[in-house]
Amino acid sequence: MTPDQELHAGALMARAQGGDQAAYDELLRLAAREARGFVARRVGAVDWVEDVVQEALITIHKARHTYDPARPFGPWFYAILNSRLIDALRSKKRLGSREVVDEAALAAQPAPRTSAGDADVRETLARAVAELPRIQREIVSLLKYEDLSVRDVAARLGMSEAAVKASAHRGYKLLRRTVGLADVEHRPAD
Amino acid sequence: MGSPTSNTDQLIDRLVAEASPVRRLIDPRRRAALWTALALVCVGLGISWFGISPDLPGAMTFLPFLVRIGLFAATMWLSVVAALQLSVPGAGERAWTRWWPLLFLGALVAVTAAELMVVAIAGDAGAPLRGWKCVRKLTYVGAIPALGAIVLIRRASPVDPVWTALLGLVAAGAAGALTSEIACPLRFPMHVMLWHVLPVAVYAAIGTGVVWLVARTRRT
Repeated sequence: MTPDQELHAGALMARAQGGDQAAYDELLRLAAREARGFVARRVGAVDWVEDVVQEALITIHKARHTYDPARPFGPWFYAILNSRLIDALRSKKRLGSREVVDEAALAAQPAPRTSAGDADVRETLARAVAELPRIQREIVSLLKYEDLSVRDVAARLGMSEAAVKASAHRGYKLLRRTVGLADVEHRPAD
Repeated sequence: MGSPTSNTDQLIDRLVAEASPVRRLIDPRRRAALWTALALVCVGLGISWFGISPDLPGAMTFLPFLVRIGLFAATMWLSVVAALQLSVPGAGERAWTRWWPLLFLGALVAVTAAELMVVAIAGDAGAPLRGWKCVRKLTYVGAIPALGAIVLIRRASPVDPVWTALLGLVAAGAAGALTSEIACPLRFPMHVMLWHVLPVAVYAAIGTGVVWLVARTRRT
């Protein structure tokens, strides 16, 4: 979500809280588009993207009274989105561990796009990113998932480029410690 | 059955049709102040019901006692502020928001443990098996603040229910333990550790475990 979209979404939500259905409709459609991109950037082209999007929309609906128009919309929205994505990843992992494997049927299927190991790493990484302090999480997400340059991130967050680099470095260090990956900093976003 | 995207469009239509004006949640700190007022009323009622310990004037000049009271009060306040901040998506996400209260609870355990070690060396740690009354006091006084915390948390929309529940229960437990500290005549560090401090952690752990199980069951 660009800063302008974020401002616009915040204004739409403020109107939706007052019962403006047209503003709410526009907001939910904007949120759905953003959520689709967000999930796809984090976990790739999985067939349950729409499930996460719908869960996020339902949560936004239930939690709309908690949004404070004096605060930016982005952190509120992405906190909901992140939590729904993590729930989905945990749920998929649990279901996966309970499934009975039909080896003959599996052999007849084309090779999956991602291995279980990749899915595990993605889940751990997504959870670790979600648990970073807010500024570090935003910076890491913008750099790695939104593919923005350091200069763009600094402009968006109103920070100096040096501060963005320092925060990103601290974030990567935390991720390395949490996830145990040696090359988080240089790993391209999926 | 439509495509997943068209299902999402239908969902949006349904949510928009359901949308009515909502009353905005008040600021988490003001909600924390409300909860604290409720908790202090419960502590006051608890103390008037159970009575003030006869040695309280003497205890008020005893530094470890004053430090413990301060740590219980700080743990209670920080926990409820953190719980109510975390119950709003995107708020209260500074790195230490959720850790400060636990740090204070840890300090409480450390101070009591240090006192226990000092008196144990002198051979006067006290008997451990005399504290169910204190647990009862803590439970009675902490129950209403715990319910209050649950109501306030549920009125918001916690995206991390486990942490939020943990902090809410620590706050309620600390309110109950504050009553025990003031009403209980026993000051032996062994007693304080086992029957005033640890029950807060045990209640918080049990409550958090229940919330974790419920959250896990809902996901599957």
